[in-house]
Amino acid sequence: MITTALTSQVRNNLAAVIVGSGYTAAQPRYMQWGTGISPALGTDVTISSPAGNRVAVSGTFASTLTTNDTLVLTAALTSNGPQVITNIGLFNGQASSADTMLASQLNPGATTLVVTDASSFPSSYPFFVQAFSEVITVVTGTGNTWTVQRASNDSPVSTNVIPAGTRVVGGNNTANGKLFLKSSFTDGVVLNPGDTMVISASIEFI
Amino acid sequence: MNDIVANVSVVSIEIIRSDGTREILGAVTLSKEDDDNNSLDQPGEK
Repeated sequence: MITTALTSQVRNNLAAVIVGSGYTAAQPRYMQWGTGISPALGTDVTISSPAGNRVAVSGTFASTLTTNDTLVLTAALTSNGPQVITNIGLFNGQASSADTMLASQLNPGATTLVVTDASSFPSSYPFFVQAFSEVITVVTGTGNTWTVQRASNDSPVSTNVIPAGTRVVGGNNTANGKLFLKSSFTDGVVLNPGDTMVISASIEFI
Repeated sequence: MNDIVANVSVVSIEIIRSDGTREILGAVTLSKEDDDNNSLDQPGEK
């Protein structure tokens, strides 16, 4: 099964467009895939265990029920090695460099988070990171130790320990930019070297 | 019944294997609510 969610970012913008102000014009220009296990949620700020580089998408309007009521965004990604793709996302920026791991486990409710290498993250605060499905706000930090607020952006709070070694990936206010749409695949798509996925995401208004 | 859907996100995937064979995956998910299990399975999806 494929589950697709427009994220909180684009939902807020679409609502703001109706009243003509309060939205940002950043476009979903790049697509990336990932190999993690977390399903697509509207609260997500990045994809699950991103892999490889982001590629540019081509966009066009299509007419589903009425003229130009659909935006179609298409990209092709080719696998360099064997992997199982579990999710894809559309972003406004091409970089995906803000990425690290938990150096020690994160207990439920804990507000101190230690990562293995914070050098790719901003030195100005706040910014979002995501571990599994939980979005976490980094409010300040010193070195690899961050002070955080849990379950941000209305995301689900982790009621279990998040183990050391878990990927911690940047979201809003990091180099990774903003996530507009995410799709997750229940069983994953097994790819071998040279296999290509051509992915079309249609945003329809009906 | 008052069921209004403002938008729908559709993602379709075509896999082109290195030997040239092609597979189609596809699904439709209502994006209005994420936690209502609104996914609509499509034939041939993975």
